[in-house]
Amino acid sequence: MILNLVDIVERLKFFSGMLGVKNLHVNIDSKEVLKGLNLSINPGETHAIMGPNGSGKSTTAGVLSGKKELLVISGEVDFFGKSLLELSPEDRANSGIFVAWQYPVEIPGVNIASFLKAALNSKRKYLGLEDITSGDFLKLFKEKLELINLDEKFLYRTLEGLSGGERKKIEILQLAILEPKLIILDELDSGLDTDSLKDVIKALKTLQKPDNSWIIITHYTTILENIDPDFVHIFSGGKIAKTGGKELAQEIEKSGFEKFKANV
Amino acid sequence: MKNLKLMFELPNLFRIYPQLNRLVFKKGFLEKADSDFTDLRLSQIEINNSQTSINLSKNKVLKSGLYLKLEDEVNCRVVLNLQEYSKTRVFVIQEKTGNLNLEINLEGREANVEIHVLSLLGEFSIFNLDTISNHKSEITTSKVIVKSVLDDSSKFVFLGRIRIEKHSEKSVASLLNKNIILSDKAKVETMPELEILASDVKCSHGASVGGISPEILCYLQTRGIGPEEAKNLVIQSYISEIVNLSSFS
Repeated sequence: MILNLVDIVERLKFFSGMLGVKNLHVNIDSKEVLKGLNLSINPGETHAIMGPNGSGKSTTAGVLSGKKELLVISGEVDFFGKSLLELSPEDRANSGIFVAWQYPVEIPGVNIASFLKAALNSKRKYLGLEDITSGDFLKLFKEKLELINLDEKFLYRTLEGLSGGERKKIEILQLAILEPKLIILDELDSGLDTDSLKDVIKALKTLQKPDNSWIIITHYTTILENIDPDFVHIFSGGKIAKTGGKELAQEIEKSGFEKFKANV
Repeated sequence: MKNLKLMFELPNLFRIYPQLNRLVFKKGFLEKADSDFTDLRLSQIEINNSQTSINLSKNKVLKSGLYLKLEDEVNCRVVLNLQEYSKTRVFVIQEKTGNLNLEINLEGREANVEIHVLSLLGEFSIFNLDTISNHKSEITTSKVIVKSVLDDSSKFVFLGRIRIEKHSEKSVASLLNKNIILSDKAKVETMPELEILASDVKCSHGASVGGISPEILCYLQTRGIGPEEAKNLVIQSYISEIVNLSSFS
């Protein structure tokens, strides 16, 4: 009886959280890349994911956002009490999931501002709100450009011909405008020069809110030195090999992943 | 995706270039458009039963440009002759079946022309377009950009040629054709060609045919934009470039 109560309380805790991933198995081209992932995230928390190449870090970002090439074999993902895996990629985004991609795609001719206005209005429509007016959008866009230290000429730029650093900054610009609840940064620090990284970290700090949560996928401790993670998860072989506090990240930087591999 | 016209807002050339000279080709004759020509005099246009010639005399800059409009199933041949230092641009937006043969003769030195063609075809429409940019004098410039979006069982056939004659040194010519195919049954044939008889010239030509990449659609979806709307956004941007890419001032 007591055990049952504990179980119920645990379940309530699980469902009152933001994200609950239970025993998730995912294949790419019939190769298993996630092999029983469990992860639970509450509002306001920051989780860092570290791990060697091929351990399933980016797959986690991809499967949460609904990438089609990732085939879910078994497991459950709960997002604010809804079954995430049943939602289309656009509905997942509109209900608050955002991945800042490691390699954002180029879209020739598509103006950044028009694209973001369409994205914001999709979200507003999903939430039953009216479209944002052009005037209000322009104001918001300029404000967020400043936040990420991008020139106003980006009002006229397209998602084409951007430098590596600019592309990453544009990802953060989108994040700032769309105000998602669960933010996944997939190796944001790769391909960024020192100055851009500073701009990005500064923007990320202002974007941290008590009601949003962060998953920071990274190989380095630079971001984590500036944005304190509540938890650090070490991925190995498609699942979490170890979870700890931020001291775990420092340990990894010193001695690598070798000893965690043995635990799997 | 039955009717492209309903899906996309055509770039409003007249809003951006209110002074554009519109020439409407009906079956068998050329009809002057509802508005008067602004900086084009009728004496500059010659019409006989097989072709329409537009002659720009020395130093004539037709700044606002020409808009050629073909009614359904019209075949026409348009010859544009540019004398020394004359300059203009031509826009064509084609949504129906038709044949257009466009010959540009850069007769005098430093003549300069820009051609922008946008072809949006659906159902069983077939559009045949031939363009030839004849550089007959030195330091002449031509820029041809032809874009198409094809749906249903439509077909676009493009034969584009740049010909630079023997003494037309220091000429600059480009020819670019891009095509987006939205249906398995739609078809594009494209043949960009160069014929260069001079030695000191700058020329480029190229063509691409393809759909909208799944990576692009996936990216837009992860930003909350559904697949249909994502396609529209990409195509709308693509067709709007007919206006934005015009570098002529």
